[in-house]
Amino acid sequence: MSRQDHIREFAAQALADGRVDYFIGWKQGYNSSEVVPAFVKDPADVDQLIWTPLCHHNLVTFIKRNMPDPADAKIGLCVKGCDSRTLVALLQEELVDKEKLYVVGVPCDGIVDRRKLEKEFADELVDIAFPERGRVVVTTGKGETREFAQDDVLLDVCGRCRYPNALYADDVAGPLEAEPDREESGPDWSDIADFENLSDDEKQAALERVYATCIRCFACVHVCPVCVCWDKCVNRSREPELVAQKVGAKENLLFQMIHMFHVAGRCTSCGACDRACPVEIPLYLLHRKMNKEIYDMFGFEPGTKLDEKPVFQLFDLATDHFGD
Amino acid sequence: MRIGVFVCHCGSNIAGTVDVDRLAERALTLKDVVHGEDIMYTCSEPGQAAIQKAIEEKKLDRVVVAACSPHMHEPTFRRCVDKGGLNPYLFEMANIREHCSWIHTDMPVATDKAWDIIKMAVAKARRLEPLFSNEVEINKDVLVIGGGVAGIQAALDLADAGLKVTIVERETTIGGVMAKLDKTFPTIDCSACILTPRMVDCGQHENIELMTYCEVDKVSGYVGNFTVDIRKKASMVDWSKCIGCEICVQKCPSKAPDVFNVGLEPTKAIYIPFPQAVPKRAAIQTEYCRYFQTGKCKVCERVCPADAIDFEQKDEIVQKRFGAIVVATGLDVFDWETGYPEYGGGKIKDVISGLQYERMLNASGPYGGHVHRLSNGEDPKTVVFIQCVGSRDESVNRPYCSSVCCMYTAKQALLTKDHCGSDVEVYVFYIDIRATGKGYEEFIKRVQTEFGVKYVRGRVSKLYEDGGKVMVRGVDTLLGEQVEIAADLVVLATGIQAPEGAKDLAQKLNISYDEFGFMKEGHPKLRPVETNTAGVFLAGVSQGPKDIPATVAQASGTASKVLGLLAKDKLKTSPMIAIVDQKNCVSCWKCIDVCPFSAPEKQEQRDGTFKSHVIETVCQGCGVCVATCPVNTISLKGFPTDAILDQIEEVLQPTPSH
Amino acid sequence: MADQTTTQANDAAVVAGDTAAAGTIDAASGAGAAVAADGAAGDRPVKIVGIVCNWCSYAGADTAGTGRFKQPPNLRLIRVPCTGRVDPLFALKAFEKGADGVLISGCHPGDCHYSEGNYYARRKFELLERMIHHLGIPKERFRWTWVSASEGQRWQQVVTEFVAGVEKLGPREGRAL
Ligand SMILES: Cc1cc2nc3c(=O)[nH]c(=O)nc-3n(C[C@H](O)[C@H](O)[C@H](O)COP(=O)(O)OP(=O)(O)OC[C@H]3O[C@@H](n4cnc5c(N)ncnc54)[C@H](O)[C@@H]3O)c2cc1C
Ligand code: SF4
Ligand code: SF4
Ligand code: SF4
Ligand code: SF4
Repeated sequence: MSRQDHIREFAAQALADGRVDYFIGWKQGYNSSEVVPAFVKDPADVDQLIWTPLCHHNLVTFIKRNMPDPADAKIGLCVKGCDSRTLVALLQEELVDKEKLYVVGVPCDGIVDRRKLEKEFADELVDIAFPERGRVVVTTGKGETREFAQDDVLLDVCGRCRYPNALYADDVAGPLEAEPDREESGPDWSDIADFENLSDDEKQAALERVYATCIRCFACVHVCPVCVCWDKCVNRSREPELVAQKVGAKENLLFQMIHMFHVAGRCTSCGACDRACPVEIPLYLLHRKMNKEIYDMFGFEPGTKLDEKPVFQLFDLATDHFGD
Repeated sequence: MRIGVFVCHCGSNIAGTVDVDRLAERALTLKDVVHGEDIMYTCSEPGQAAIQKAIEEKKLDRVVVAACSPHMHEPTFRRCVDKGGLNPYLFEMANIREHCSWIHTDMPVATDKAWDIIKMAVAKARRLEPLFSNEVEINKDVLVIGGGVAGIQAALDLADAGLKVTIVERETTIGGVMAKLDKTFPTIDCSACILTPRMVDCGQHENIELMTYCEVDKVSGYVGNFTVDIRKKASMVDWSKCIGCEICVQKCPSKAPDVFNVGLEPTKAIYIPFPQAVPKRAAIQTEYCRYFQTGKCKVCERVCPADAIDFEQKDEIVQKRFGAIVVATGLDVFDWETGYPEYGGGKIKDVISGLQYERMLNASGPYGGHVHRLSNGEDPKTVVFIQCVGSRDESVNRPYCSSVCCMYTAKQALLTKDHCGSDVEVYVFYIDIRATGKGYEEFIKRVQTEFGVKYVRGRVSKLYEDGGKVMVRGVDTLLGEQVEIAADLVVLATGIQAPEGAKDLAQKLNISYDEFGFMKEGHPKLRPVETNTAGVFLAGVSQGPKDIPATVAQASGTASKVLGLLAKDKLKTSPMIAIVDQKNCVSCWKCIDVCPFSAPEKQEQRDGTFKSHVIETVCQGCGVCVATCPVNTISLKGFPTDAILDQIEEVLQPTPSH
Repeated sequence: MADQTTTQANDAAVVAGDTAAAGTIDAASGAGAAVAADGAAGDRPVKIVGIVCNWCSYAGADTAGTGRFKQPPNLRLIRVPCTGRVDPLFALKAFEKGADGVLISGCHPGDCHYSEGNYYARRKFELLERMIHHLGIPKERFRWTWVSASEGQRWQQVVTEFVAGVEKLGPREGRAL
């Protein structure tokens, strides 16, 4: 039985039992090259649900406080390994109610970066097929077809993935994926090494250049599964005015730094913000660095252990020796 | 907005380095400033009168005084503007003396800086709002947790002053450790003779309610208004009937370990810790009771003349309200058996703890004061004391000094000579002697010279049995040589540690504790008996090791602080606290996580959702929550975020140099 | 996406996480990069924003004043009740508004007037410091430390050293933050 079949079966069962009011998974977008989130209420509709390496959406975003409708809805949802970390992060802070959730873990062998594929073609993509594990066949509107190895076109986050299986789930869709030995090797921070190696002036120049293009659409913060502020984001507040409304490189960077500090100790490096940004700002340059430093300071990986709390909401006299 | 700026000369203290006249004039160029004036001594009568006059004449609604540090005169000027008819919190100070004129010498440079400081103060003043203190009713009853000498002293002081006090003690009797001691240093007066009358006073005081064999289950509320759930543990004896005759104890067939006598000799399953217990009531340790274990016995029920035995009794929760809480939970003796396997780990009969030795010395103890070897009952010829067992020792995670062991060892050494005759050999192994109290050093000297106790400086590395003796092997670090002594009895000066359950209790009370479980005072020097939770106070060893004189002194200090708090009928709260604008609160509860005082609470809204609310009487105004709230919906009155941002902006505004 | 200028191509490379290309970003590569080298600016005196807690460091600065411990005149202090009140944003905001340096100081660990405020603060400040440096703001321009109410001399030393460090770099001009 494929993972997709498992998902459909679990969803149908949970809906039929009344264990959940609705089930969140993924379904095909406007053509077979795209995937969008699916909200299924009727067991008869579970056949919409799919599982392919295009299912990048972190569905945990949809269960944060204020999102469920009605507010006390019982919700079922699929989580990949990375998504489960944001779920754990929310559970750590009791921002979601465990009792009202039904979680299906989906072991994942890597999500394909559609943007990478788009850049390979001049034409729009109409179909992305996965004839078997590891193979990606792309077809464009003009009928051009090319095959890629899945590993070559993965999201960057997937290339560094340490948690292919869900850390928190009620049921698991099929056999687990092989896990790296996490004891042996810590997180891989090589993606920011080049930036880190720049001189101070080069960093400032690079940041100025990329942040000048931000249009303050707030997609990045809205898609962030651990951001709790929603429409109350301080970046829009006039009293006090933390960030000027002016859309300039300085203001934009300041806005991102605020978001970064708000998710400090909670950001799981899911990369949703990077993927959401319409002008493709490399937001990871900031939050990956932040996570690296937090790992260095506390040995803490957000969203990996249920009994931990985000590190900036606590302190530890025995181990905190910062400052002089 | 109409702001008045007053620039002080402070004689030449400021005017000597800062061009005060020009600043007063230039202040008028700032937005909203309608009055600028330089004053020779602003804090003086005429200075203050000038401010009040300007408030009235120029209709000022904000006042900025550029003078010395707010630590010096902020209260003065707040009072001044208050009298002048302005809310005292519409006042801001610019410190151009300590932070400017006194640390610079060059007039133009100092004047430029003073100008920036004034601009920042004006920027902040624009954001100030009138603030008002609140008043809340207070409950005047006091809860004292722990009935050792600290709790007893605090309770008596408070009760004598007319307050109603409840003592919650988890044992069946009050008295604590002091009730177990024989004599006390440095006066060698009998511990019971000092303590027992005070225990009786407690038991009979019309203002004191004793709740022994009880524990604190839950605490809610805040200063002036605590609600406490107290668990009355089932003693299986109806205390309203029990007359403390001890017949049940005599007849009970089941043996049980005797906590009061530190395990020296067993007691019975139904027990009364000691004859002078207050209240003197029996209780059954069910895990040792034959009836509870086998279903057959009930001897006590048959013999009790008062018909007090009640095998069906259950724990009961009593809810009470208090205005203040005193924590006096004292100490446990360091559990040396697990910490020091090299001392036999409790397997050598003639190696005992200091507290066990107190019981052995005590005339009303299990041996009637007969000092002897537990292995064979013989009188000892050589007694060795080892200091710092479980103190100042990183290897057992007790790096701190227990502060009483040097002294009680000297006391016990002296009493050994007294009980066993002067020809008994007494050795004390020590690291160094800490005898800092009044008359303490003299006491140690007496023990060494007059009583001939031999002090050996060094640690004992091993105790082992050989030929019926306890061999004590160590180094004399002064002579630099190995020593080995064949002892008959070895007494370990076991250190003090926080009592079991201390951290639990601290968490219920929301007070801090250190890594060893001692409760943390509000400030070591300025608020030594307060905690960081308003209305919760500390007394005795619960706060850290100390001896009886210090414990009693501190307990009286604590009582006076409680009295100070409860002397008023209403509590005036500081208005410089945090307030949540609930419409933007996203219920993330980070404020609750970080507040050192648990001031924010989840408050139910009309629609059934919950939002954060800061309890005014609990908030101390630190602002940690404000810096943590992601949506910035908490503001700290007196230090609002927009004021801080305006200050930053104002000072970074490029100004042409003058 | 075929008709890109060199600059845009570079951006896209950063976006795509193409490490080889990302490594090539530098101040000179973009035609529109108006960022001058840090410190290569005019000779106005440097301006430093200090944020201090009321109970320890503000009082420590008072003590320094009372003791007439001379200090460079570049620091402007903002008083807050506790370092726990300090939002990392304040420091970033100060840099955005043109501060040449930011100094934060509070009570030594264990001495916080509110017992725990600086325990939370120091975790944040440590991260803030590391991130500020990551933004390309040199280490010398940001410092956080502890000065107690009695340490007037230490306050003098902290201020003097910090100002000297910032002065060495000079005023910040044409910066991204
Ligand atoms: C062996 C030894 C010898 C000593 N000799 C001397 C001496 O000669 N002279 C001198 O000055 N000092 C001496 N001391 C020190 C002295 O014992 C202490 O200073 C004193 O007992 C402290 O009193 P306290 O009330 O703070 O604590 P305690 O006497 O420990 O009283 C605390 C009370 O609180 C109760 N309690 C604990 N936790 C709870 C709870 N959660 N709920 C309810 N109740 C609770 C306990 O049962 C106890 O009754 C000696 C100490 C030891 C160990
Ligand atoms: S900041 Fe970005 S990477 Fe981090 S949790 Fe939010 S969306 Fe994911
Ligand atoms: S998604 Fe991109 S453009 Fe939109 S606000 Fe975030 S960084 Fe700016
Ligand atoms: S200001 Fe401080 S004391 Fe008051 S609620 Fe906030 S964190 Fe708690
Ligand atoms: S931190 Fe702010 S948003 Fe979160 S619960 Fe507290 S007041 Fe509400």
